[in-house]
Amino acid sequence: MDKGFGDPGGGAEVKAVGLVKNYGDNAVLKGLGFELKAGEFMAVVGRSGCGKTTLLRLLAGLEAPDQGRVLVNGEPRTDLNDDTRIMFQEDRLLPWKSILGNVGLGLGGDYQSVAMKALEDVGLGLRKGDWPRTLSGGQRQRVALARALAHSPKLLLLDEPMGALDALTRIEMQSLVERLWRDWGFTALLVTHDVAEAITLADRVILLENGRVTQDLRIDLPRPRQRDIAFAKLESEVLNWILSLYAGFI
Amino acid sequence: MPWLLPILLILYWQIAANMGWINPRILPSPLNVFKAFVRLLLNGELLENIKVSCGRAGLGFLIGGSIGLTLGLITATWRFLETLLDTTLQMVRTIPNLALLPLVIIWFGIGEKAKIFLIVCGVTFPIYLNTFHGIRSVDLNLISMARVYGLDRLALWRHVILPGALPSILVGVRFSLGVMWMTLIIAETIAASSGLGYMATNAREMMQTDVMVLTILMYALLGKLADVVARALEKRFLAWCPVNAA
Repeated sequence: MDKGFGDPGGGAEVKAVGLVKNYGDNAVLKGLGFELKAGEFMAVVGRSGCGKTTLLRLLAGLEAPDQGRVLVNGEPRTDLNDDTRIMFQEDRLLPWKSILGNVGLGLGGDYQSVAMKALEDVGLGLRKGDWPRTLSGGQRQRVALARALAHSPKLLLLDEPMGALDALTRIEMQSLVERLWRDWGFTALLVTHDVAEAITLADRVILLENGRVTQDLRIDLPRPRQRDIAFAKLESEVLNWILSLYAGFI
Repeated sequence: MPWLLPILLILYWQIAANMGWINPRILPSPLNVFKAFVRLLLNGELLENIKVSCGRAGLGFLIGGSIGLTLGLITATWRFLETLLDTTLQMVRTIPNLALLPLVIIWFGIGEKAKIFLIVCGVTFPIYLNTFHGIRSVDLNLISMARVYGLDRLALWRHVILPGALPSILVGVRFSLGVMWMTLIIAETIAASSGLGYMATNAREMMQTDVMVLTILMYALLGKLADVVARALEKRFLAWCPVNAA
Protein backbone atom coordinates (compact mmCIF):
# COMPACT_ATOMS: atom_id res chain seq x y z
CA MET A 1 0.00 0.00 0.00
CA ASP A 2 1.33 3.40 -0.94
CA LYS A 3 1.68 5.68 2.03
CA GLY A 4 3.35 8.57 0.27
CA PHE A 5 2.49 11.92 1.71
CA GLY A 6 0.60 14.35 -0.49
CA ASP A 7 -1.07 11.41 -2.15
CA PRO A 8 -4.05 10.92 0.16
CA GLY A 9 -5.58 8.39 -2.19
CA GLY A 10 -9.09 9.34 -1.18
CA GLY A 11 -11.25 7.90 1.51
CA ALA A 12 -12.30 4.43 2.44
CA GLU A 13 -15.78 3.03 2.07
CA VAL A 14 -17.02 1.74 5.41
CA LYS A 15 -19.81 -0.67 6.09
CA ALA A 16 -20.91 -1.85 9.52
CA VAL A 17 -23.24 -4.83 9.52
CA GLY A 18 -25.20 -6.02 12.54
CA LEU A 19 -22.54 -5.14 15.10
CA VAL A 20 -23.07 -6.70 18.51
CA LYS A 21 -20.73 -6.12 21.42
CA ASN A 22 -21.20 -7.19 25.02
CA TYR A 23 -19.05 -6.46 28.03
CA GLY A 24 -20.07 -9.16 30.47
CA ASP A 25 -23.85 -8.88 30.87
CA ASN A 26 -23.86 -5.39 29.50
CA ALA A 27 -24.92 -5.27 25.84
CA VAL A 28 -23.38 -2.11 24.41
CA LEU A 29 -24.07 -2.58 20.70
CA LYS A 30 -27.16 -4.51 19.63
CA GLY A 31 -27.09 -4.96 15.90
CA LEU A 32 -25.71 -1.63 14.80
CA GLY A 33 -25.30 -1.00 11.08
CA PHE A 34 -24.59 1.84 8.67
CA GLU A 35 -22.82 2.60 5.43
CA LEU A 36 -20.34 5.35 4.79
CA LYS A 37 -19.39 6.43 1.29
CA ALA A 38 -15.75 7.11 0.46
CA GLY A 39 -14.84 10.61 1.59
CA GLU A 40 -18.03 11.15 3.55
CA PHE A 41 -18.03 12.98 6.88
CA MET A 42 -20.41 11.46 9.41
CA ALA A 43 -21.09 12.58 12.96
CA VAL A 44 -22.37 10.24 15.66
CA VAL A 45 -24.34 11.71 18.52
CA GLY A 46 -26.00 10.04 21.48
CA ARG A 47 -26.13 9.89 25.25
CA SER A 48 -23.06 9.06 27.30
CA GLY A 49 -22.60 5.32 27.39
CA CYS A 50 -24.58 4.69 24.23
CA GLY A 51 -21.66 2.83 22.70
CA LYS A 52 -20.03 5.56 20.60
CA THR A 53 -16.53 4.86 21.81
CA THR A 54 -17.05 1.10 21.49
CA LEU A 55 -18.09 1.67 17.88
CA LEU A 56 -14.85 3.56 17.21
CA ARG A 57 -12.79 0.80 18.78
CA LEU A 58 -14.45 -1.78 16.52
CA LEU A 59 -13.94 0.38 13.43
CA ALA A 60 -10.27 0.87 14.32
CA GLY A 61 -9.80 -2.85 14.86
CA LEU A 62 -8.74 -2.38 18.49
CA GLU A 63 -11.47 -4.86 19.41
CA ALA A 64 -13.50 -7.43 17.53
CA PRO A 65 -17.32 -7.45 17.55
CA ASP A 66 -19.12 -10.42 19.12
CA GLN A 67 -21.37 -10.59 16.08
CA GLY A 68 -21.55 -8.80 12.76
CA ARG A 69 -18.64 -7.25 10.95
CA VAL A 70 -16.95 -4.14 9.76
CA LEU A 71 -16.00 -3.88 6.11
CA VAL A 72 -13.52 -1.27 4.98
CA ASN A 73 -13.32 -1.02 1.18
CA GLY A 74 -14.99 -4.42 1.13
CA GLU A 75 -12.33 -6.03 3.33
CA PRO A 76 -13.41 -7.39 6.70
CA ARG A 77 -11.66 -5.60 9.52
CA THR A 78 -10.06 -8.06 11.91
CA ASP A 79 -7.09 -6.15 13.29
CA LEU A 80 -5.45 -2.76 13.45
CA ASN A 81 -4.86 -1.37 10.00
CA ASP A 82 -2.56 1.26 8.54
CA ASP A 83 -5.37 2.96 6.65
CA THR A 84 -7.19 3.99 9.84
CA ARG A 85 -6.13 6.44 12.52
CA ILE A 86 -7.84 7.74 15.65
CA MET A 87 -7.76 11.20 17.14
CA PHE A 88 -8.52 10.85 20.81
CA GLN A 89 -10.27 13.13 23.24
CA GLU A 90 -6.95 13.73 24.97
CA ASP A 91 -4.03 14.63 22.73
CA ARG A 92 -1.98 11.59 23.85
CA LEU A 93 1.27 13.18 22.72
CA LEU A 94 4.44 11.53 24.03
CA PRO A 95 5.89 14.09 26.45
CA TRP A 96 9.44 12.82 25.82
CA LYS A 97 9.38 13.42 22.09
CA SER A 98 9.66 16.74 20.32
CA ILE A 99 6.63 17.98 18.41
CA LEU A 100 8.15 16.72 15.17
CA GLY A 101 9.02 13.38 16.76
CA ASN A 102 5.42 13.02 17.89
CA VAL A 103 4.03 13.73 14.45
CA GLY A 104 6.47 11.24 12.95
CA LEU A 105 5.55 8.47 15.40
CA GLY A 106 5.15 5.14 13.64
CA LEU A 107 6.15 6.45 10.23
CA GLY A 108 9.54 4.79 10.00
CA GLY A 109 12.12 5.53 7.38
CA ASP A 110 12.69 9.18 6.57
CA TYR A 111 9.80 10.49 8.61
CA GLN A 112 11.07 14.04 8.97
CA SER A 113 9.89 15.56 5.71
CA VAL A 114 6.51 13.82 5.89
CA ALA A 115 5.99 14.88 9.50
CA MET A 116 7.13 18.41 8.74
CA LYS A 117 4.62 18.80 5.95
CA ALA A 118 1.77 17.60 8.16
CA LEU A 119 2.91 19.95 10.91
CA GLU A 120 2.95 22.87 8.51
CA ASP A 121 -0.55 21.88 7.40
CA VAL A 122 -1.84 22.52 10.92
CA GLY A 123 0.16 25.73 11.18
CA LEU A 124 2.71 24.63 13.75
CA GLY A 125 5.82 24.18 11.62
CA LEU A 126 7.77 26.66 13.72
CA ARG A 127 7.25 24.67 16.91
CA LYS A 128 8.76 21.43 15.56
CA GLY A 129 11.63 21.30 18.06
CA ASP A 130 9.60 22.15 21.17
CA TRP A 131 8.37 19.79 23.87
CA PRO A 132 4.62 19.09 23.92
CA ARG A 133 4.25 20.55 27.42
CA THR A 134 5.10 24.02 26.10
CA LEU A 135 2.02 24.07 23.84
CA SER A 136 -1.54 25.09 24.71
CA GLY A 137 -4.35 22.53 24.70
CA GLY A 138 -5.57 23.63 21.29
CA GLN A 139 -2.08 23.49 19.81
CA ARG A 140 -1.55 20.04 21.24
CA GLN A 141 -4.72 18.80 19.56
CA ARG A 142 -3.48 20.32 16.31
CA VAL A 143 -0.26 18.34 16.69
CA ALA A 144 -2.37 15.22 17.31
CA LEU A 145 -4.26 15.99 14.11
CA ALA A 146 -0.99 16.38 12.21
CA ARG A 147 0.17 13.04 13.62
CA ALA A 148 -2.96 11.39 12.23
CA LEU A 149 -2.60 13.11 8.86
CA ALA A 150 1.05 12.15 8.49
CA HIS A 151 -0.12 8.57 8.03
CA SER A 152 -2.37 9.58 5.13
CA PRO A 153 -5.33 7.74 6.63
CA LYS A 154 -8.22 6.69 4.46
CA LEU A 155 -10.46 6.60 7.49
CA LEU A 156 -10.06 9.09 10.33
CA LEU A 157 -11.93 8.38 13.55
CA LEU A 158 -12.43 11.43 15.76
CA ASP A 159 -13.31 10.57 19.36
CA GLU A 160 -14.53 13.93 20.68
CA PRO A 161 -11.16 15.52 19.97
CA MET A 162 -12.51 19.01 20.52
CA GLY A 163 -14.48 18.22 23.65
CA ALA A 164 -11.96 19.68 26.05
CA LEU A 165 -11.18 22.88 24.14
CA ASP A 166 -12.54 26.32 24.96
CA ALA A 167 -15.24 27.72 22.64
CA LEU A 168 -13.03 29.89 20.43
CA THR A 169 -10.26 27.32 20.04
CA ARG A 170 -12.92 24.74 19.25
CA ILE A 171 -14.29 26.82 16.36
CA GLU A 172 -10.76 27.27 15.00
CA MET A 173 -10.14 23.56 15.29
CA GLN A 174 -13.42 22.74 13.54
CA SER A 175 -12.55 24.82 10.51
CA LEU A 176 -9.08 23.27 10.45
CA VAL A 177 -10.54 19.78 10.50
CA GLU A 178 -12.98 20.72 7.75
CA ARG A 179 -10.27 22.24 5.55
CA LEU A 180 -7.95 19.26 5.96
CA TRP A 181 -10.79 16.81 5.36
CA ARG A 182 -11.57 18.56 2.07
CA ASP A 183 -7.89 18.69 1.05
CA TRP A 184 -7.14 15.11 1.97
CA GLY A 185 -10.37 13.42 1.05
CA PHE A 186 -10.34 10.86 3.86
CA THR A 187 -13.56 9.39 5.21
CA ALA A 188 -14.28 10.87 8.63
CA LEU A 189 -16.35 9.65 11.54
CA LEU A 190 -16.76 12.12 14.38
CA VAL A 191 -18.12 11.20 17.78
CA THR A 192 -19.32 14.32 19.56
CA HIS A 193 -21.57 15.68 22.30
CA ASP A 194 -21.75 19.03 20.60
CA VAL A 195 -24.71 19.15 18.20
CA ALA A 196 -23.59 22.41 16.60
CA GLU A 197 -20.20 20.84 15.93
CA ALA A 198 -21.84 17.82 14.30
CA ILE A 199 -23.89 20.05 11.99
CA THR A 200 -20.94 22.34 11.22
CA LEU A 201 -18.78 19.48 10.02
CA ALA A 202 -20.81 16.47 8.94
CA ASP A 203 -22.53 15.42 5.74
CA ARG A 204 -24.66 13.16 7.87
CA VAL A 205 -25.58 12.95 11.53
CA ILE A 206 -26.69 9.67 13.05
CA LEU A 207 -28.14 9.07 16.48
CA LEU A 208 -27.03 6.08 18.51
CA GLU A 209 -29.61 4.81 20.94
CA ASN A 210 -29.69 1.52 22.81
CA GLY A 211 -26.86 0.16 20.73
CA ARG A 212 -28.55 0.87 17.40
CA VAL A 213 -28.77 3.66 14.85
CA THR A 214 -32.19 5.22 15.34
CA GLN A 215 -31.91 8.42 13.29
CA ASP A 216 -29.98 9.33 10.17
CA LEU A 217 -30.08 12.92 8.98
CA ARG A 218 -28.43 14.34 5.89
CA ILE A 219 -27.05 17.87 6.23
CA ASP A 220 -27.15 19.59 2.86
CA LEU A 221 -26.00 23.04 3.90
CA PRO A 222 -23.26 24.62 1.76
CA ARG A 223 -19.76 24.72 3.25
CA PRO A 224 -18.25 26.44 5.13
CA ARG A 225 -21.44 26.51 7.13
CA GLN A 226 -22.97 29.67 8.50
CA ARG A 227 -25.00 29.58 11.66
CA ASP A 228 -28.16 30.78 9.92
CA ILE A 229 -31.81 29.80 10.17
CA ALA A 230 -31.43 26.55 8.24
CA PHE A 231 -28.56 25.62 10.54
CA ALA A 232 -30.59 26.43 13.63
CA LYS A 233 -33.51 24.33 12.39
CA LEU A 234 -31.31 21.28 11.91
CA GLU A 235 -29.65 21.89 15.22
CA SER A 236 -32.96 21.95 17.06
CA GLU A 237 -34.08 18.82 15.24
CA VAL A 238 -31.03 16.88 16.39
CA LEU A 239 -31.30 18.33 19.89
CA ASN A 240 -34.90 17.17 20.01
CA TRP A 241 -33.84 13.62 19.24
CA ILE A 242 -31.43 13.67 22.11
CA LEU A 243 -33.79 15.39 24.51
CA SER A 244 -36.54 12.91 23.71
CA LEU A 245 -34.13 10.21 24.84
CA TYR A 246 -33.90 11.91 28.19
CA ALA A 247 -37.66 12.53 28.42
CA GLY A 248 -38.23 9.15 29.97
CA PHE A 249 -35.76 9.86 32.75
CA ILE A 250 -36.84 13.33 33.78
CA MET B 1 27.91 33.32 48.54
CA PRO B 2 26.91 29.67 49.13
CA TRP B 3 30.57 29.01 50.02
CA LEU B 4 30.73 31.77 52.61
CA LEU B 5 29.59 29.65 55.53
CA PRO B 6 31.92 26.67 54.90
CA ILE B 7 34.90 29.01 54.45
CA LEU B 8 34.14 30.83 57.69
CA LEU B 9 33.75 27.52 59.51
CA ILE B 10 37.09 26.23 58.26
CA LEU B 11 38.76 29.51 59.19
CA TYR B 12 37.30 29.29 62.67
CA TRP B 13 38.39 25.67 62.93
CA GLN B 14 41.96 26.60 61.94
CA ILE B 15 42.07 29.45 64.45
CA ALA B 16 40.69 27.22 67.19
CA ALA B 17 43.36 24.63 66.43
CA ASN B 18 46.13 27.26 66.42
CA MET B 19 44.97 28.69 69.75
CA GLY B 20 45.10 25.19 71.22
CA TRP B 21 41.33 25.07 71.89
CA ILE B 22 41.08 21.70 70.19
CA ASN B 23 43.27 18.77 71.08
CA PRO B 24 44.97 17.78 67.78
CA ARG B 25 44.68 14.12 68.75
CA ILE B 26 40.88 14.49 68.63
CA LEU B 27 40.54 16.81 65.65
CA PRO B 28 43.49 17.93 63.50
CA SER B 29 43.62 21.45 62.08
CA PRO B 30 42.52 21.96 58.45
CA LEU B 31 46.11 22.77 57.57
CA ASN B 32 47.28 19.42 58.91
CA VAL B 33 44.55 17.64 56.98
CA PHE B 34 45.75 19.42 53.89
CA LYS B 35 49.34 18.42 54.65
CA ALA B 36 48.22 14.80 54.98
CA PHE B 37 46.46 15.18 51.65
CA VAL B 38 49.65 16.41 49.96
CA ARG B 39 51.78 13.73 51.62
CA LEU B 40 49.49 10.86 50.58
CA LEU B 41 49.03 12.34 47.15
CA LEU B 42 52.76 12.52 46.57
CA ASN B 43 53.53 9.00 47.77
CA GLY B 44 50.70 7.73 45.57
CA GLU B 45 48.84 6.05 48.41
CA LEU B 46 45.76 8.25 48.14
CA LEU B 47 45.21 7.83 44.42
CA GLU B 48 45.84 4.12 44.62
CA ASN B 49 43.22 3.71 47.34
CA ILE B 50 40.70 5.92 45.55
CA LYS B 51 41.22 3.86 42.41
CA VAL B 52 40.62 0.62 44.29
CA SER B 53 37.50 1.96 46.01
CA CYS B 54 36.03 3.42 42.83
CA GLY B 55 36.76 0.21 40.96
CA ARG B 56 34.81 -1.81 43.51
CA ALA B 57 31.97 0.68 43.58
CA GLY B 58 31.75 0.84 39.80
CA LEU B 59 31.89 -2.89 39.21
CA GLY B 60 29.36 -3.64 41.95
CA PHE B 61 27.05 -0.95 40.64
CA LEU B 62 27.30 -2.23 37.09
CA ILE B 63 26.54 -5.83 38.03
CA GLY B 64 23.80 -4.97 40.53
CA GLY B 65 22.30 -2.40 38.19
CA SER B 66 22.13 -4.87 35.31
CA ILE B 67 20.51 -7.52 37.46
CA GLY B 68 17.97 -5.06 38.86
CA LEU B 69 17.16 -3.62 35.45
CA THR B 70 16.75 -7.04 33.85
CA LEU B 71 14.57 -8.34 36.67
CA GLY B 72 12.46 -5.18 36.56
CA LEU B 73 12.00 -5.40 32.82
CA ILE B 74 10.99 -9.04 32.72
CA THR B 75 8.70 -9.00 35.76
CA ALA B 76 6.92 -5.89 34.50
CA THR B 77 6.47 -7.44 31.07
CA TRP B 78 5.33 -10.96 31.85
CA ARG B 79 2.59 -11.35 34.41
CA PHE B 80 3.71 -14.94 34.96
CA LEU B 81 7.20 -13.89 36.02
CA GLU B 82 5.78 -11.24 38.29
CA THR B 83 3.72 -13.88 40.09
CA LEU B 84 6.73 -16.16 40.25
CA LEU B 85 9.37 -13.66 41.38
CA ASP B 86 7.87 -10.56 42.90
CA THR B 87 6.93 -11.91 46.33
CA THR B 88 10.37 -13.44 46.77
CA LEU B 89 12.13 -10.29 45.67
CA GLN B 90 9.99 -8.13 47.94
CA MET B 91 10.93 -10.38 50.86
CA VAL B 92 14.62 -10.44 50.09
CA ARG B 93 14.80 -6.69 49.55
CA THR B 94 13.76 -5.96 53.14
CA ILE B 95 16.96 -7.57 54.43
CA PRO B 96 19.60 -4.86 54.87
CA ASN B 97 22.48 -5.92 52.66
CA LEU B 98 24.97 -5.20 55.44
CA ALA B 99 23.32 -7.86 57.60
CA LEU B 100 25.09 -10.31 55.30
CA LEU B 101 28.51 -8.97 56.25
CA PRO B 102 29.50 -11.70 58.74
CA LEU B 103 28.39 -14.43 56.35
CA VAL B 104 30.09 -12.76 53.43
CA ILE B 105 33.39 -12.61 55.30
CA ILE B 106 33.15 -16.36 55.85
CA TRP B 107 32.21 -17.01 52.23
CA PHE B 108 34.63 -14.70 50.48
CA GLY B 109 37.18 -13.63 53.12
CA ILE B 110 38.13 -9.97 52.95
CA GLY B 111 39.05 -9.96 49.27
CA GLU B 112 37.47 -8.15 46.37
CA LYS B 113 34.53 -10.53 45.96
CA ALA B 114 33.12 -9.78 49.39
CA LYS B 115 32.84 -6.04 48.78
CA ILE B 116 31.49 -6.41 45.29
CA PHE B 117 28.94 -8.96 46.40
CA LEU B 118 27.66 -6.64 49.13
CA ILE B 119 27.39 -3.71 46.74
CA VAL B 120 25.55 -5.86 44.19
CA CYS B 121 23.08 -6.87 46.91
CA GLY B 122 22.52 -3.25 47.88
CA VAL B 123 22.22 -1.82 44.38
CA THR B 124 20.00 -4.47 42.77
CA PHE B 125 16.79 -3.81 44.67
CA PRO B 126 16.33 -0.05 44.35
CA ILE B 127 16.86 -0.40 40.61
CA TYR B 128 14.57 -3.42 40.36
CA LEU B 129 11.74 -1.73 42.26
CA ASN B 130 11.93 1.52 40.33
CA THR B 131 12.22 -0.15 36.94
CA PHE B 132 9.20 -2.32 37.67
CA HIS B 133 7.19 0.59 38.99
CA GLY B 134 8.25 2.84 36.11
CA ILE B 135 7.14 0.38 33.45
CA ARG B 136 3.86 -0.40 35.18
CA SER B 137 2.98 3.25 35.53
CA VAL B 138 3.35 4.12 31.84
CA ASP B 139 0.04 5.64 30.71
CA LEU B 140 -2.07 2.89 29.11
CA ASN B 141 -3.71 5.49 26.88
CA LEU B 142 -0.34 6.21 25.32
CA ILE B 143 0.22 2.50 24.73
CA SER B 144 -3.12 2.04 22.98
CA MET B 145 -2.46 5.19 20.94
CA ALA B 146 0.90 3.79 19.87
CA ARG B 147 -0.76 0.54 18.80
CA VAL B 148 -3.29 2.42 16.68
CA TYR B 149 -0.43 4.36 15.13
CA GLY B 150 1.19 1.17 13.91
CA LEU B 151 4.04 0.64 16.39
CA ASP B 152 5.15 -2.97 16.69
CA ARG B 153 6.30 -4.48 19.98
CA LEU B 154 9.90 -3.38 19.63
CA ALA B 155 9.02 0.16 18.60
CA LEU B 156 6.51 0.33 21.44
CA TRP B 157 9.30 -0.41 23.90
CA ARG B 158 11.71 1.98 22.32
CA HIS B 159 9.42 4.95 21.87
CA VAL B 160 6.84 4.59 24.62
CA ILE B 161 7.56 2.15 27.45
CA LEU B 162 11.26 2.73 28.14
CA PRO B 163 11.17 6.53 27.87
CA GLY B 164 8.05 6.50 30.03
CA ALA B 165 9.78 4.39 32.67
CA LEU B 166 13.06 6.28 32.56
CA PRO B 167 12.28 8.95 35.18
CA SER B 168 11.53 6.22 37.69
CA ILE B 169 14.58 4.16 36.66
CA LEU B 170 16.84 7.16 37.19
CA VAL B 171 15.37 7.72 40.65
CA GLY B 172 16.43 4.13 41.33
CA VAL B 173 19.92 4.86 39.99
CA ARG B 174 20.34 7.86 42.26
CA PHE B 175 19.10 6.03 45.27
CA SER B 176 21.34 3.05 44.65
CA LEU B 177 24.38 5.30 44.22
CA GLY B 178 23.84 6.32 47.83
CA VAL B 179 23.53 2.70 48.93
CA MET B 180 26.65 1.88 46.92
CA TRP B 181 28.89 4.34 48.81
CA MET B 182 27.50 3.45 52.19
CA THR B 183 28.02 -0.25 51.63
CA LEU B 184 31.52 0.33 50.35
CA ILE B 185 32.55 2.50 53.29
CA ILE B 186 31.33 0.02 55.85
CA ALA B 187 32.67 -3.04 54.07
CA GLU B 188 36.07 -1.44 53.59
CA THR B 189 36.23 -0.21 57.15
CA ILE B 190 35.40 -3.59 58.62
CA ALA B 191 37.12 -5.95 56.27
CA ALA B 192 39.62 -4.84 53.68
CA SER B 193 43.30 -4.71 52.85
CA SER B 194 43.12 -1.74 50.52
CA GLY B 195 40.84 1.14 49.62
CA LEU B 196 39.78 4.34 51.33
CA GLY B 197 38.04 2.60 54.20
CA TYR B 198 41.15 0.56 54.86
CA MET B 199 43.19 3.75 54.85
CA ALA B 200 40.95 5.16 57.57
CA THR B 201 41.06 2.02 59.70
CA ASN B 202 44.81 1.90 59.37
CA ALA B 203 45.08 5.54 60.37
CA ARG B 204 42.99 4.87 63.45
CA GLU B 205 45.48 2.28 64.66
CA MET B 206 48.26 4.81 64.35
CA MET B 207 46.13 7.67 65.74
CA GLN B 208 46.53 9.65 62.51
CA THR B 209 43.41 11.76 62.86
CA ASP B 210 44.46 13.91 59.91
CA VAL B 211 44.27 10.91 57.56
CA MET B 212 40.92 9.89 59.02
CA VAL B 213 39.42 13.32 58.40
CA LEU B 214 40.94 13.32 54.95
CA THR B 215 39.25 9.98 54.15
CA ILE B 216 35.90 11.34 55.23
CA LEU B 217 36.38 14.36 52.98
CA MET B 218 37.29 12.06 50.08
CA TYR B 219 34.06 10.12 50.58
CA ALA B 220 32.10 13.36 50.56
CA LEU B 221 33.83 14.37 47.35
CA LEU B 222 33.20 11.04 45.62
CA GLY B 223 29.58 11.01 46.78
CA LYS B 224 29.10 14.47 45.37
CA LEU B 225 30.72 13.37 42.13
CA ALA B 226 28.30 10.45 41.79
CA ASP B 227 25.42 12.81 42.40
CA VAL B 228 26.68 15.19 39.73
CA VAL B 229 26.84 12.31 37.26
CA ALA B 230 23.29 11.23 38.14
CA ARG B 231 22.04 14.77 37.72
CA ALA B 232 23.77 15.07 34.36
CA LEU B 233 22.06 11.86 33.24
CA GLU B 234 18.70 13.27 34.26
CA LYS B 235 19.33 16.53 32.50
CA ARG B 236 20.33 14.69 29.36
CA PHE B 237 17.56 12.07 29.27
CA LEU B 238 14.72 13.83 31.03
CA ALA B 239 14.99 17.21 29.34
CA TRP B 240 11.29 16.91 28.55
CA CYS B 241 10.28 16.88 32.23
CA PRO B 242 9.13 20.23 33.60
CA VAL B 243 11.43 19.78 36.63
CA ASN B 244 14.48 19.66 34.39
CA ALA B 245 13.51 22.67 32.33
CA ALA B 246 16.33 25.14 32.18
